[in-house]
Amino acid sequence: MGEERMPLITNKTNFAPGDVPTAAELNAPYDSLQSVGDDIDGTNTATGWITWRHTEAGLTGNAIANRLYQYNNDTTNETLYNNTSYVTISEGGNPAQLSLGFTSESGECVRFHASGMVGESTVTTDYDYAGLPGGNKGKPNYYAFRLLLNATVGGAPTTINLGEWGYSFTTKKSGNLTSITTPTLSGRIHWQPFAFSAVYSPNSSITFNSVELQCKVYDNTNSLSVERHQLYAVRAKR
Amino acid sequence: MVKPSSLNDNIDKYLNEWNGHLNGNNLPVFSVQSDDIKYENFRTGFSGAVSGLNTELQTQGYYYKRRSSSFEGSTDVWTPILNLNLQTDDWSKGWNRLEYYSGFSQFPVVFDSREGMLVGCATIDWQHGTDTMLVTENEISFSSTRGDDWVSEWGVFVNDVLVARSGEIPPRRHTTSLPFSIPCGSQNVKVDVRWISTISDYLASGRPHGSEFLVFSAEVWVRNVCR
Repeated sequence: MGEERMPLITNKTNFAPGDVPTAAELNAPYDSLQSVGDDIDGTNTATGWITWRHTEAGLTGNAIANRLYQYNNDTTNETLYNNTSYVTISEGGNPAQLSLGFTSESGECVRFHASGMVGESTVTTDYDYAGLPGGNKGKPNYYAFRLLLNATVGGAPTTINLGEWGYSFTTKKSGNLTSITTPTLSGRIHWQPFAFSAVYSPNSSITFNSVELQCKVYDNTNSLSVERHQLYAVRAKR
Repeated sequence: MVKPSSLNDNIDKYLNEWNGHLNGNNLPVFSVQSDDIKYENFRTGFSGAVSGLNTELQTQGYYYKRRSSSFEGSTDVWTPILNLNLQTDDWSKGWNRLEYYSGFSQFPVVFDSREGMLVGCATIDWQHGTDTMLVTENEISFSSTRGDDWVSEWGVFVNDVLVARSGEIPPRRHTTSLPFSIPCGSQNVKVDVRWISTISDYLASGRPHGSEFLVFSAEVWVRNVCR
């Protein structure tokens, strides 16, 4: 019926004494109702017609306004990563991957959260003398996380970068060293939680397959320690 | 024999129910599903150095701004998009608005809210680390650091009211996540982030500190819950 809405049904006959109702006259109001019965709207309902008890409950399942997806890996074992390109975090053989598996309506909005704990990372360098001046001098101190969305767009599988966020192994940043290539390490930062969030809203309908939490380091002589971590996605539907 | 008035009354009562008097008794509990509510989405996108989106759904709206080194062609997650020299650049000892700095003028999230709640989060990837310098004593050179007592803090402001703050963060590169919530009316809303840094006086020995304040990315999303 498209945008048509159910009107008030006025297709009826008031019978007077002596009238002989025809079948069409008797059937008219019911036929009208049948033809528009799928399009009941506010015209047809009383004030206060609905209560929250009428709506489906809960964040999971087929909830009304939002749907929550979550992944939790609560291991306290530390896994070290010294890759300089992103890899998906995996603890105990469980990749940090949150399954989504839905096709959005056009322009839907989904927000993503990730958090976790960095343990006792192995740090051998936090300063790059060779990078002077400017350049990469502070970069060996960095590690980063990425949220990567696996989606199907226009029938083709693809990945979408939802965001990247960085941290440092030690307190060090900058300096003006000119002759000491291996300065003393600054204070190591151990047992630091990480957390970030992002919002993604495609212009058109796409299939959200899964989202992965990934990490990398700038300098492979350093190893990032990751233990427990969580992923959340909240799909805003209405 | 059927009286006409009875026939008319029966039809009238039947139709009257459909003509504006359907109520909760006509609907099983837990039966209204998401698809029963019309999907509407009013979107306004923003492009440029600061990208973002305003999108309004039936029960909520999302409002979002981001500037990130990872999404600008000449930089990556290791390269800052804002580099402040705290010795020579303009900043204050109070709250410094990120929007005042180059490339961030469009960063505040501005929209017309609907009465309800604002629930959101600011995420800033930034760094204020210690300096490393060369020290020579008795003809022996060694590296030393300074700035272990420096601290910085981030805050989220809604219409100039501080609604979330990180607390003082010691030197490091850190992605700071600041969740916040505050009631709102049907009104114009502006959400922005600001920072404070405290540094000790630099040495007077001819080695000015190179204290850099870096920002790699900043983003704010706000969810306006209105029903």
